[in-house]
Amino acid sequence: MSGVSDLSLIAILSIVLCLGRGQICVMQHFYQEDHRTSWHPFAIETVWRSYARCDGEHRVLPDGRCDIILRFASDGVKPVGDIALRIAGPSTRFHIVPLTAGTAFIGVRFRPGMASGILGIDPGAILNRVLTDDEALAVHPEFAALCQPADSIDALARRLALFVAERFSASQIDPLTAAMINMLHVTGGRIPIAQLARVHQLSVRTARRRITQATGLGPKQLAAIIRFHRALRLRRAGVGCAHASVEAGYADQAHMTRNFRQMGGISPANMPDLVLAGFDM
Amino acid sequence: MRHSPPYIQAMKLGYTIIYVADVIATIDFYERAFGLRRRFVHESNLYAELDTGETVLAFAGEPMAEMNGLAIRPNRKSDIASGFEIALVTEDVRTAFERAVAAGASPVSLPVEKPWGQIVGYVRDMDGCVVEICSPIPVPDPN
Repeated sequence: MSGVSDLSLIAILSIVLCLGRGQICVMQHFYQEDHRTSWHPFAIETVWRSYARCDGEHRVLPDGRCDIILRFASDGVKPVGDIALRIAGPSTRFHIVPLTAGTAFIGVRFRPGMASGILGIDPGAILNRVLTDDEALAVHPEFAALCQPADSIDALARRLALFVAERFSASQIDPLTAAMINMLHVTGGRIPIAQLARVHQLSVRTARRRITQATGLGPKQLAAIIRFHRALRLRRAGVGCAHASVEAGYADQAHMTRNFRQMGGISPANMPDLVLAGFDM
Repeated sequence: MRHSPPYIQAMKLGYTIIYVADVIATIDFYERAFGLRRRFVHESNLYAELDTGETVLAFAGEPMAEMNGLAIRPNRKSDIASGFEIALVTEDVRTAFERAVAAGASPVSLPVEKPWGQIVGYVRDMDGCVVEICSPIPVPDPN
């Protein structure tokens, strides 16, 4: 039973970043995750960090999650200068973040459906948006504490994780909705919404409303994003396009190709080097 | 001329692993309902084995399916049963059937005697998986 012993290291699937144009820079780019469940087993999926040693860009793929991100110039060990705050809402398509050498990021990725319990706002209100400093502070002035100077990147990561863990209010999370979101993930996004609702003894309408409230995405959108990630993972594992499209649940290979272009701006046949969540670079 | 098939080393059936929502609850249920005993429970509570002899009946938590890169149809009592069954053999099918139902299994087909002399009943377990409870196949009378 390989894998049983390193459960604690494995994140539930998600892909955050991939390098586009800056591919020659791959080995110069650092990306790492910390999945310690002690951060907060319900709220926090991972505390990630990345550091660009040369200019390039991040291709941020939709993953059905929300993140709080701190961005700062760094020597690789500690922040140098101001720390900028970003709140990344759920997205349905990729976006490109240009990078300059020496830019570091620390992010907390929330578990799916936990954003409202942390941010206290409807994640649908920030669909396909990244709130920058003032906009983020308007959500909650307390976020300003995150941008205070820090001695090291480690200290900053700890500060961010503890902040999120303390803010998380489980009272905003409905267990039935969490169970539905989990089932969408377990099925690779392939369970029809009607069946998802029936299994949880809800009407389709109620199931749709609850999932949309929790994630900011309709169940069909969320399912499509989960399917996209599974297909990425299958391709990354070396499965050919034809088999990957069938296993991921696409109608055919052309369908998968269209979906990859639309959500990721990439081709399944010729994928750029991806930084996959759960796999450090 | 017929060619014989290339020699392939036969594999051994080692495990039947069923993905379930709550591994510990399922293991508890199998002990109460079917009198099986746990053999191994991983500290993560995401994997456990029953003491079923050479071929292990094991349960894994659904998050493990995702970790293994799989997508699965979860087993749920409220859903149609998946297309497989676990067959458990006992001399006293009717008593075993009643005990399983008393422990929370859902009766699907009451024990009946098949034309070949075997007594067979079906229940669904707490996760909705089909479990057949049957007597051993009778040994044909040599006379």
